[in-house]
Amino acid sequence: MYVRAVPPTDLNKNTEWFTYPGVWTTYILILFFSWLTVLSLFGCSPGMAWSIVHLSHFLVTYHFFHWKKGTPFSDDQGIYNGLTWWEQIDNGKQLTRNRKFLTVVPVVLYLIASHTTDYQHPMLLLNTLAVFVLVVAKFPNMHKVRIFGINGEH
Amino acid sequence: MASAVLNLLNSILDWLTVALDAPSARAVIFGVPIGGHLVVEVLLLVVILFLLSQKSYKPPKRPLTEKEIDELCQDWVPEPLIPSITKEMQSEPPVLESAAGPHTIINGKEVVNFASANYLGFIGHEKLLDSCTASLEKYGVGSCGPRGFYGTIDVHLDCEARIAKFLGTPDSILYSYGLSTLFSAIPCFCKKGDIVIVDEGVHWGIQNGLYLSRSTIVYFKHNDMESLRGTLEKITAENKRAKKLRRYIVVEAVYQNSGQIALLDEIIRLKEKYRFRVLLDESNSIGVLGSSGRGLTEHYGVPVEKVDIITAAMGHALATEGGFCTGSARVVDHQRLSSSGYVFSASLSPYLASGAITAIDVLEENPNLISKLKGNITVLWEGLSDVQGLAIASNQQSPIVFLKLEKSTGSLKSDMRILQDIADRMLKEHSVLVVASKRSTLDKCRLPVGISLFVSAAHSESDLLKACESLKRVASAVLGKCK
Amino acid sequence: MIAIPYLTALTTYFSYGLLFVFGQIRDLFSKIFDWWSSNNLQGYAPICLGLEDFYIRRLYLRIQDCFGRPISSAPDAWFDIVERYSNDNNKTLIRTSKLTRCLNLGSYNYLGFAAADEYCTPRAIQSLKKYSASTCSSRVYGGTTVLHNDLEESVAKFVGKPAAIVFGMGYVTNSAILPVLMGKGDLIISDSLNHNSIVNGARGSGATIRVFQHNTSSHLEEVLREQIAEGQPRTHRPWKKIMVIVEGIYSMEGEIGKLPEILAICKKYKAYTYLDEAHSIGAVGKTGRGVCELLGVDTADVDVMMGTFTKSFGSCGGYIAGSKELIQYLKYTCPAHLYATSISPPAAEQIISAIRVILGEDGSSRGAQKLARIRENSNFFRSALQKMGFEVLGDNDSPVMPIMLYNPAKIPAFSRECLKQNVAIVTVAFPATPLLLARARICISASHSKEDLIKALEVISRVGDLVGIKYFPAEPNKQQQDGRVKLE
Repeated sequence: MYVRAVPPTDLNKNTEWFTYPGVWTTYILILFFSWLTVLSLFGCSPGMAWSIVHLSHFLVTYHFFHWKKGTPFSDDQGIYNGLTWWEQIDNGKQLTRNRKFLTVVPVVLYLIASHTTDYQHPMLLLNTLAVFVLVVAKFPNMHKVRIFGINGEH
Repeated sequence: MASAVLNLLNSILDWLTVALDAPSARAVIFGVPIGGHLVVEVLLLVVILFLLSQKSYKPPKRPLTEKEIDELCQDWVPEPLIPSITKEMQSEPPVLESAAGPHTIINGKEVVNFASANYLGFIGHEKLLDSCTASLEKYGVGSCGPRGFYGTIDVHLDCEARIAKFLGTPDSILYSYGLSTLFSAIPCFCKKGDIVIVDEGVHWGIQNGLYLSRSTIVYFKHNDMESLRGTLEKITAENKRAKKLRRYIVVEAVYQNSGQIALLDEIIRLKEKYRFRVLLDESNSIGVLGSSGRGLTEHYGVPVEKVDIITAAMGHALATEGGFCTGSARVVDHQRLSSSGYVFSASLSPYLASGAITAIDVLEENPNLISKLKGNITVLWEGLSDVQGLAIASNQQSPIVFLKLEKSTGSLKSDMRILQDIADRMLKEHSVLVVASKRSTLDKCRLPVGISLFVSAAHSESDLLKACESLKRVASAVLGKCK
Repeated sequence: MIAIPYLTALTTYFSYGLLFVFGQIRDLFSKIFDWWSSNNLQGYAPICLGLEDFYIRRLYLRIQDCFGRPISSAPDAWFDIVERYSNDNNKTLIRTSKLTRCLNLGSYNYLGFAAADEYCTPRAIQSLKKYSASTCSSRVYGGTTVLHNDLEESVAKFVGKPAAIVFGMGYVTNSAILPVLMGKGDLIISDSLNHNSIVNGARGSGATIRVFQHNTSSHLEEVLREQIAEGQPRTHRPWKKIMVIVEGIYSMEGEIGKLPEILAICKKYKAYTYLDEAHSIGAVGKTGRGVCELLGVDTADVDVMMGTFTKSFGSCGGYIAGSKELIQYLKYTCPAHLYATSISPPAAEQIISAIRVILGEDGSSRGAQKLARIRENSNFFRSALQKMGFEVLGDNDSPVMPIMLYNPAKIPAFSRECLKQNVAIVTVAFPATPLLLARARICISASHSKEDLIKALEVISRVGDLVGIKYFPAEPNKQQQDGRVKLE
């Protein structure tokens, strides 16, 4: 099976890789495999494992998408220094396919995790908090907004 | 009929309540049972808050139709690519018919050349020619590739090691062109947000590098240490975050635009006080200043480690081409991977690298070249100190003797015209090639223009005296007439 | 357009993900260790920020030995590579005095002028003796010799423009010319895969920069329409002028620019055109005059023609060719002309002689032979690689042919295995290419003999099997395969 790749017009190397085919699949597969890993390593219930995956997904993506600013490349001279990865993606265009995908993933994960834990506390509360924070951070209205100046300074 | 509708409505509402309650039916937070209605109320509250937080705006305008865009495209008239050519743009430079040594041939006439920065007289030097020839025969002319892709030739590595050894630094890095050295090296270390304090007289290579770096640039008065101190003080006091940012002072050792020499000892003192790094361009001082030609650091007796980054073009005293940057291993290694002019450009022609190695060897073997050069500078400087209408603006030890108009006409263009007239007459009437400053429209340097004479160790006493004599005569003829 | 096996795309992402995770963990530890030593900075901010060079430290350094291999001879068809070894997992490489003779598939020696040439080299040496290695002066001061004027004349004649100006370095040509021509209120529309020197020149100019999809004229038109309709950002004033910048041959793709279509659109929308022929001048076209000749484009339609001498001519430097007025204006105000040392006289002579050889003015037919040779070699090599089942990018007649590798682990594997069998190949990976599209690049030269190419093909085929990069089935099924790709 072959896919076709067209070089995108995104010059930001930090986000360009996300515009190629196969990224979404890899993303989902990694989540699925991490669930399997958690399941087999900790020997917990499937629901617990989903919750762990969801919460660690929250931590990792929050850190890399919404907290860390700038790019790991020096040749863009720091023009992205004030922007998080989420704000850089697709040149800041809102509601693109990639953005929708990235918003849907945590919500679906939340639904799976909540459903498989039978909407039981304390997992439900943690999951809800996590998905709330992630989804709010992804709102178009939150673009370049730093609530209460959190993570505001360079 | 009505009751059926009512029943249906009731059953839907019941179902909704159950559905809303279901996920949180047993949820209790801080002792408060969470009912479905509470969720709805909170949601409504959020909606209201959200609504209040929105800014008012006009509904978006109707987008342009295809036809309108077509019309706009048709109506749009671009400016010409270049402005119309005026007479001053058509001036032709002198054409040399032989090597650019101390004496050269222009229009079939032998002239004394003060236009080449051939400080040590290495143009036409036997040993340099031999090593270049040997290298050219072995490696060909070009390197046919960037350094990363088989463009690294062993002489490049040897040359880098030789330069580092000569200057006493851990390592150095070669660039294939003098001009690109600075505008590639600066963006490597200065990024957006970093603070760079620059002398206002720096040449275009530095200006462009700073522009490309996107850092915050602050200029201080040309070679004025008081102004530098004031700027440093102000920046440090004003910007509370300055401590966390990378901070640089960028200066030239010998300013190409004025012949002034940077006061390195004072700069180092200030740099250490305010914790700035120093980036020094030694293009016109390597092989010239210091007792053995190691440049400005040797001239002031400052240990070379105190200067963080040193760059230089090799197209001056070393009489080859290209440039190098030297400093700590960290500084050099970082450039090897992130300097665009190094990574993305074909490497230096191998014969030019060989030439540079030999030039440094010859310089180390003959320290008398430097004393000869210094003697020549003194002779010329003294000879030119009383030219009518022109004043020496350069430092007494600078290999560039720079004379500016005593009375500027007030406009850069007419100043340049007068100076060009002097240079033209010098060449035509006295067979002495001197340089009248040229300024690109892109150049932000606002220092006065002038006549430059590049002194060489290969100039004989009579060459120097001839230059002084003829410049005096031409200046009095041209500038005397002006009054 | 590149066809990637879907599974390979997934594994590539997964591999980079893994590298990223390990890199982050290593960074975490080094951060802890650095915390102890950070007090040594004495109030200076660190000169290199940690985050900036993550990919260099954690990805590039692991495979550093595949890049920057020093050589000890002219970069001809065969050259001597200096062996290196490392004691610290590739962090530092130590040069030995041992040499290996390798087949050179990496240098941009398209016409074979890199090595000593019976016509060019004696002349270059002669001019070295006459003019010395440098003029130590800029062109407008005392750096213009007879040679420089001759060079500009012969370049202008060669590329088919009224006048030309030369510089001592190709990179500087782009990055110093663009700021002269474009400025605030102007718009530069650049191909998304343009060379870094163009990107830097465009940035340095202060003009607004927009990018169009690589080599896609329809997208260029879309961008042009949108930009002309909208005008400058925020103020919405009309653009002062618009310049479209494209390349002749894209060095990382081997593709030839779709010049006729792009020029037609530029003409329609009154945009100026800037053509960078760094890799194509001398290498393609019936008489070596570059893509314009190859694609039958009138050079008068291109406003600014740029090219370099490092590749086909085996020298150094670059040129801009254009109308008399344009060149006059550049000579008046271009900083690289006013302030930089003029091009080294022997290098200038090498270019003049090389152009003479190409045009047959040296009294032999060597130039025509070289041009025929590089075309034959390139087309033979490309079709042979395609038959073997490699994914080869680029167009026919282009001497640059990238072979797709994709997986990061295959980059060093391919390069090292080829080197073991005495074939030197360039590999390119992220961030120089998109993450997914790591590749090996082959540059064919006219100096390669048929035997050289056959040996190279054998080695590449063997290594390709070993590394597993023959992503398509070999020849017999090739056509069927193409059909399938189209279906998907």
